[in-house]
Amino acid sequence: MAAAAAAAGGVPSQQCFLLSVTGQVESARLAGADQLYCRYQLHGGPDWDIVTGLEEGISQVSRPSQDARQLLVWNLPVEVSYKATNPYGWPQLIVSCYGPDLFGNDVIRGYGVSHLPTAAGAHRVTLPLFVPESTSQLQKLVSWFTGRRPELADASSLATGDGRDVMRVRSQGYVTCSFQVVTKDLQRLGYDNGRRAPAGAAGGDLQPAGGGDGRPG
Amino acid sequence: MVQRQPERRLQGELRQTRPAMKSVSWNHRAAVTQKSIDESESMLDQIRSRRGRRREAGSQDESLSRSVQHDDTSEPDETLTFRPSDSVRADVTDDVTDAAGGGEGGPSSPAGRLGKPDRGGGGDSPRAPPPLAPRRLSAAGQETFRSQLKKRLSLAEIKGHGRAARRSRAQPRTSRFDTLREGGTSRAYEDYMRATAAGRTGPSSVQAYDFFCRIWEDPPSERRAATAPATPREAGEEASGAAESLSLSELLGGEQLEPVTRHVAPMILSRKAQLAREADIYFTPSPIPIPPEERLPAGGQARDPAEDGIYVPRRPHLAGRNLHKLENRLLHSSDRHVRQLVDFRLQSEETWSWFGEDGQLLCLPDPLLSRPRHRDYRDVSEDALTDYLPASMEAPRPADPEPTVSAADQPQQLQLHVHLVAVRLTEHPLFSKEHRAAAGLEQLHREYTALVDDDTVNRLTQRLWAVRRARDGVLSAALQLPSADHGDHSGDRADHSGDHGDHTGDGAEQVQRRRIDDYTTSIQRLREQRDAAAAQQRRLCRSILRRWRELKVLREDQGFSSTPLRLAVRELPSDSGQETELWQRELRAELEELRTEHDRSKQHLDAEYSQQLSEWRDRRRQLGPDSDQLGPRPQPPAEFDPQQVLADIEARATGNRRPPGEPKLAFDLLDTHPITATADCPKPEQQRRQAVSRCQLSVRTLIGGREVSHTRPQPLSQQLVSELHQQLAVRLRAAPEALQLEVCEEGTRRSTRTLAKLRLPSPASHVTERTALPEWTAFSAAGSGPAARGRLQAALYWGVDEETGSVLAPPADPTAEGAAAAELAAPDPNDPADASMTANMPDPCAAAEAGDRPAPLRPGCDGFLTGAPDPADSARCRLLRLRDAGVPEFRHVTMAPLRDQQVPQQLFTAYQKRLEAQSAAGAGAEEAGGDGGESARRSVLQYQLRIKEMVARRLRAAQKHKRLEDMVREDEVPDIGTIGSVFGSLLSVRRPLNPPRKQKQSRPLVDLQGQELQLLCHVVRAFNVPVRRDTDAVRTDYSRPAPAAQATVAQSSLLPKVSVRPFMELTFQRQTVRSNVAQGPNPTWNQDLKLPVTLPPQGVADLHSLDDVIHLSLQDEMLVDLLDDDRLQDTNVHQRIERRWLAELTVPFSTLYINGRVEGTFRLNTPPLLIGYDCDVTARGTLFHLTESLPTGQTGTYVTVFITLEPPVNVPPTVQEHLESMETEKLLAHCESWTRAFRRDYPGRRVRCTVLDVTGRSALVCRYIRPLRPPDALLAACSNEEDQALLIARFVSLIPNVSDVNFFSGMYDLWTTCQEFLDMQAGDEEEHAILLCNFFLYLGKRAYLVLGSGIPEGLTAYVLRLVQYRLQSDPVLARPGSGIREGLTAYVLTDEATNRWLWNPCTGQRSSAAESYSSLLSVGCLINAENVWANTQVYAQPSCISFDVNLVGDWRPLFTARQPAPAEMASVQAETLRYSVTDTVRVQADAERLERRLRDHLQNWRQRTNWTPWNRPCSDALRRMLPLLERSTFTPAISGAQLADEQTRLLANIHATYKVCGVPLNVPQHSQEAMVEALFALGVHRNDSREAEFALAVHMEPYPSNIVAVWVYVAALTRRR
Repeated sequence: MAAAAAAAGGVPSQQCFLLSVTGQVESARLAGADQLYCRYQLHGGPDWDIVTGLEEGISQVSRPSQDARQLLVWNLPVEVSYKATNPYGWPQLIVSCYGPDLFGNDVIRGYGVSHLPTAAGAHRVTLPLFVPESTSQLQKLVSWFTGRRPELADASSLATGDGRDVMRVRSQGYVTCSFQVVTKDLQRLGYDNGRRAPAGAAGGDLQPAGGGDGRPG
Repeated sequence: MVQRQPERRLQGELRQTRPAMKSVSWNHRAAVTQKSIDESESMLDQIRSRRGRRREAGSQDESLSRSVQHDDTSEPDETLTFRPSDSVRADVTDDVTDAAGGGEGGPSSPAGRLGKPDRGGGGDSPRAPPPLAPRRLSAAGQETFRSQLKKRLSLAEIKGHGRAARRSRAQPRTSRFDTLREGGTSRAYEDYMRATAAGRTGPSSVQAYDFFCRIWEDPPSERRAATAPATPREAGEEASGAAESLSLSELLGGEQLEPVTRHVAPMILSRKAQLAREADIYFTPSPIPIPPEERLPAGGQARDPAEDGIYVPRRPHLAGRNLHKLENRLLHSSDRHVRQLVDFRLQSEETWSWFGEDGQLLCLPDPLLSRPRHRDYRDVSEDALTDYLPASMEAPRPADPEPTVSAADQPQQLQLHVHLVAVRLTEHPLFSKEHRAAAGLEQLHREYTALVDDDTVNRLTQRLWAVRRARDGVLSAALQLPSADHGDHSGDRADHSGDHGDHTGDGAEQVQRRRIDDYTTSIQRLREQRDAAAAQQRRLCRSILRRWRELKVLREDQGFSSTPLRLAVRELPSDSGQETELWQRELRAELEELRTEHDRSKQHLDAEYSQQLSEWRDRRRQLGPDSDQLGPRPQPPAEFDPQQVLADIEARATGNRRPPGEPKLAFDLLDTHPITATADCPKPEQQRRQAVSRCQLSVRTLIGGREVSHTRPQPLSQQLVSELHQQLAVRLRAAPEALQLEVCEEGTRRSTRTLAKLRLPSPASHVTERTALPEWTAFSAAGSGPAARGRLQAALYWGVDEETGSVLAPPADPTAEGAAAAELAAPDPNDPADASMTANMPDPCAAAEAGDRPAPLRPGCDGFLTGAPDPADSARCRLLRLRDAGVPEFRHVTMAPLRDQQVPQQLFTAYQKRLEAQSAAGAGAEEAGGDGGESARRSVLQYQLRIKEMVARRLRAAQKHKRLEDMVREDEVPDIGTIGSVFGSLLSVRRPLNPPRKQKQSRPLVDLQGQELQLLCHVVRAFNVPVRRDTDAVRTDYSRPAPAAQATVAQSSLLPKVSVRPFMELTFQRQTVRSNVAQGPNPTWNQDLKLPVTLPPQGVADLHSLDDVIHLSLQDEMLVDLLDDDRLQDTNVHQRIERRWLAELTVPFSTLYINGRVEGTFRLNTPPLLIGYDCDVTARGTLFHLTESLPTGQTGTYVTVFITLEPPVNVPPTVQEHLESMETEKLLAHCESWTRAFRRDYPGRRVRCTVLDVTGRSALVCRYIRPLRPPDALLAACSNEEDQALLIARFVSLIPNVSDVNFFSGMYDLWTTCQEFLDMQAGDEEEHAILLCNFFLYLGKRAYLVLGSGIPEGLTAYVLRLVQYRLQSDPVLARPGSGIREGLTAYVLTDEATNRWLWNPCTGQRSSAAESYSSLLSVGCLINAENVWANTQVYAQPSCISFDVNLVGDWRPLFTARQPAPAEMASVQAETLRYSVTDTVRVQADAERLERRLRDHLQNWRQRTNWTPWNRPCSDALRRMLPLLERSTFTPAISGAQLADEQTRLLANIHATYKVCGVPLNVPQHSQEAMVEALFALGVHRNDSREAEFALAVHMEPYPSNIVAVWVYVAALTRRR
């Protein structure tokens, strides 16, 4: 990550903090889904910039496990490093799950959104999924037949609060994600993300060896 | 039997291993088989050799032992375990022999391994473990074994590998064993063996220890050591099993495996049993209601609360069946779970039940319940919840610690926080009398409250009594003791008689006396203190009351009050009887004490008296009785007079304390007194109050003489309190001794006067934010200024390190603490109040260690690092705020820097500049700068910008409201229409050769992020392209050619073969792409032209603000022969391509954006004159259907194009907002219903009743119509009324046309007033039409504003009405119903006696309303100042309708007799328009400047050819031509022929030597940039001829109000050869 910090152009590395998240979209529990694939996208605010890693990803098609849990496992890795100058617009992970319906049409099975964890360490996040509802029963029927169910025009709009008031959604299932978060320089820049440093540790954040910021312990 | 231990362990291991072995798959075994067979052979060999060695060994014990040891080098445990004694050895040998002789037995017995008792053979096996290896088999046994093996192997070969493998599983182990021994893998083992062999006498203790502690690497070897099996058969099987497991364990590396699958036999139950089991599990609630008695608790009686008069709300509806089921479930369910739940509930809360008193299920909220029954989130344990920490703005830390300072010598960092809360003045020149009185009262009250709160009097009284009691106790003890032990302790008597003082007594007596003395003095002291305190309290009471009376009187006197202070006096309850008793008791006690004191002092006084008396007597004796020096005779000390003393005491007590019976008072200071409003106050008070409101206070903080911060000035309230509420954090290297604060008064004239200075000591090192309390510190004015006193409330505390949690304070100074400790008489180590002190007290033990502690920091303070500025003032905060507010400069800022220093200042400077410019433009738009007309224009532009900004803000706010369609993509439900069209399309005629264009699905803008947007233009064909005139031939007579009709016939034969080679060129954003060249005047291209769209910097979202223009020009490609030498003509080709601009179509980008596409056949804008071309040849043969359908007299060039964006873009929807209006609600409702009704009846027709003005308020359209006087210059220019009208129309058309879409960056349709329109010099056709209509009304014409839809300037909506030139499309070519929105436009109808004219306000052209062709397709409504009439006629075409608005059947008015117009219809228009005078000189200068600029640009564009010669004579001739062209636009008398003749005449000389190709451009003055762009689009500069010369002329025709008609004539000249 030190290399990543060096590579981050534009803003000098001292003037921004870094957030590195590795993790995976592990699995989903979604009743009635036979085959499912998911797509994740990360959405950060205006003061966030991706240093390394992919902003979007798409998984393989998964089938439910042959036991009582009926887990749909993807283990789709998410690895991204951000640099930022402002905690406003903390990146969010948006997961959209798709799968074929009764007639083989690829339909949306659920959207889920969650902020990336703010504190360093290992986290396990469960995202509730939901899909937009049809505006009327007739439309519901039609969309069921045609396989063109209501979808979000832009899934990244979930990350912003706009337009939540106008759509009705139905909850679907859960997606489990695990994240390992490393932050750098957050506390040096005066942000308190709730994780106290153990006594004697240099700096407040978990930081990689060699990534020290020269702060006296 | 220590030695057995390892073996037992092994047995255990084996037991574990064995079942695992079985699960190895069959294949695996087969693989091993062959190997094991081979290995069994080698094993046999080894056994043979071993037997040989055995024979060599002697029969003695020792040798046998040795041989065994030697033999089994790899089996140390056995060797060690068995010191070979005869018996054991014999036993073992027997065992083995037996086992071997048993026939089927293997070499080792699993029975031994499994720890089972042996089942036969060796009866001694229980006693001894079976450790012997098969190598010690007797000869017979070995033989048997061998034969057995052989038999097995052959069997295996016969029966197949699988079985054989299983049977012979023993062999590999042996082989491994041997390899172990021979290969020496276990080196440690060998070493050990060597040592053992060397010792010969057995293991030493070290070895023994080593043996037991070492983990041997080869434990399986011991497994062979098994006792003989009991049953031979069984043993054999088990032996093979053991062998099997061993070999497998080797293969698997000792891993234990679990069975992969486990087969469980299906459990099939009979149906009956199944049902029985299910009955246990399932419960099927019956829907039958339960009798009420069951629902009630045992012995309960159903009671209806409603009958008792208790309000019972309605129960929620629940289907009875479901309810009964639920009740059944709750009561009768055999499920333990519910029962348990109920039981639990009942246990936990006895009164709890599912059913209420009435036997009904509880389903209503119980108002008596204090806690909800459902599980609350608060029940969740604390750990599970995330803590919410509110964000806090703290002082940022220092940017970067200096890297040179290492951690070791880093000075200590301190962080001092100063919280300045408020300043309250208690004396100030601004104080009125009343304020002073109030301040005094307040001060008194504060003192009084402090006294009362402290309860000094009471406390002292209590103490007094306590001491009295103690004294009495001592006295009584002294009295009683002698009576108890009379004889022994005379000291007690001494105590008792201490008062009399006649005993000296022993030590105890002394002590007693001293104690009593102490008590007495302390009583005296306490009494005095109490009296003093009580006197003070009483004095304060009196003063308060007096002050309050004074204040009241003052208020009455002055007639107003300016302080809210009010004293509330409360009478506290008191028990007078008890008080009297106490009072008396007190008096008595005091009297008694005084008596005692008197007694005590009496002796002394008596002695003194007697001495004085004797002295006096001596003196008298010496001097004589009457001597003057004798002096008076000393008086004997006064006797104690109880009456007198009591009176004294009483008088004093009454003066000091509250006598019994007097009411007990408490004072409350309230600020509820009404303050007189400033207006009602006399003048001086008003002035004073104003002065107060102007006054501001601020506080400067200084540390070590350096200013750290200066708070923002805070206004002084009328109560002379200034609330500062500012926090400050200072980083220090050394603790300051004190903080200096300066209270400053900010005067009215920016002068700051220091009111007072005060010092605050730095806080103790343990004070942090949590413990610090704001304290009031009084200050008084220093220096010569007017007296000012006041108090400052501030808190000082040390910061806490976020990470370590340590207080950033200087270490506690032990000396200071010591000093503090010294102040206290006796610090109590157990008193928690002194804890901090005792904690800091130096530990004597640690003193030695603490010697090297850093010395306490010197209080010198030059070391503060940073003063924290107010976060709200920081540049970053400002940036973030502006970005959030959506200010355009900041809207797209990303990665906002973290520190103020890094925020680029130019970001703000640009913003500031804009703000200033806007305010300047708003203040005085019309000031004439040195820059001439351009500055005026710029100010107009800024005015436009301001309005634009305002509207944009409104729009952005509206856009935040997303609709469902913006969020969710959902298919429309097919209605009848769509289904019908789907089926209709199936039935429609298929025309594969005429494919229609399919509508592409447009996408919302967000989807376009990151994609390239392209402009796609499909040029199909053009008609009636001007053809070249034979310009090569030098004509002598420059007369006009014959009229068109004749010329057609005459010239058709004369025309050259290729009359013109036209191509289309698309220019957008300075990028150009051209089509191929087609031939002839009616070319067909059918070609796609694509250009990328450079998005605005803000991205796709601001696409609508793109105000570029799409130029589509028709040009002629000419091939010019360059060969100088005619002889080369046959062999060489040397030509140059030249282009000639012929016509143009301009489409603003916004038009395209709004409509999605522009499609149709349009008339190109051709210049009035085109040198070298014949434009008006209409009938030239192959005009297809066009010729017939062209109306007579229609000329011009037409082009069929299709322009769209790729990928298609969603058009943002019109914002429908209910905005405030200047009309009444009723009128608005009427307008709306009227409009709706009309739209329902006539969907295609356009009506407007209310429109928005620039402030966003809606107003009735009629208010816009009002006669307005046109500029006088125009009226004076022509005497003829008709010419006047035309001139006015020309004037109006010259105002630049900018669409609302572009201008107001959204879908608002805003109507500006005429004055605003003229000021802004921009507007769309409604504004033009209103202005024109108002002018016509002034001229006395009957004029109406016509709103209609049509194809005023093209087929599509806004397309061509925004075009800056006069454009007309051919109405016949337009195909209505092709799915494109029709343009909405505004016309003016003048109803004159002779004719009805429809005026196109944007072109200044008029046409007769009765004309069969009009560019207006349908008339929606007519508007004048009184009413709005909607067209209800069958046809909407102007030529087909009647314009008589009085015909009820034809026109539906908005206001009728039933629904009259509002009484007053104030116009939104100003009464008269202000016209600024156009400075003709300046216009001239502008024209020259523009000409220069255009020339410069032209030269720049021609960089390639380096040289641009200008032909002055030609320029002059063209310049003379331009005014004529301008005049021709509004003078119908000047015809095109005349113009052409005039031009030919002017250019006669030039034509003689040059071939001239030129174009006149007429542009309404919008901006010079637009003209430059137009010139660029002409492409005249793209002439590569070296001989080319250029001519450029600019003419500006000034009109009033800064309206200017701009003409540019540009020509390229080529010298004739």
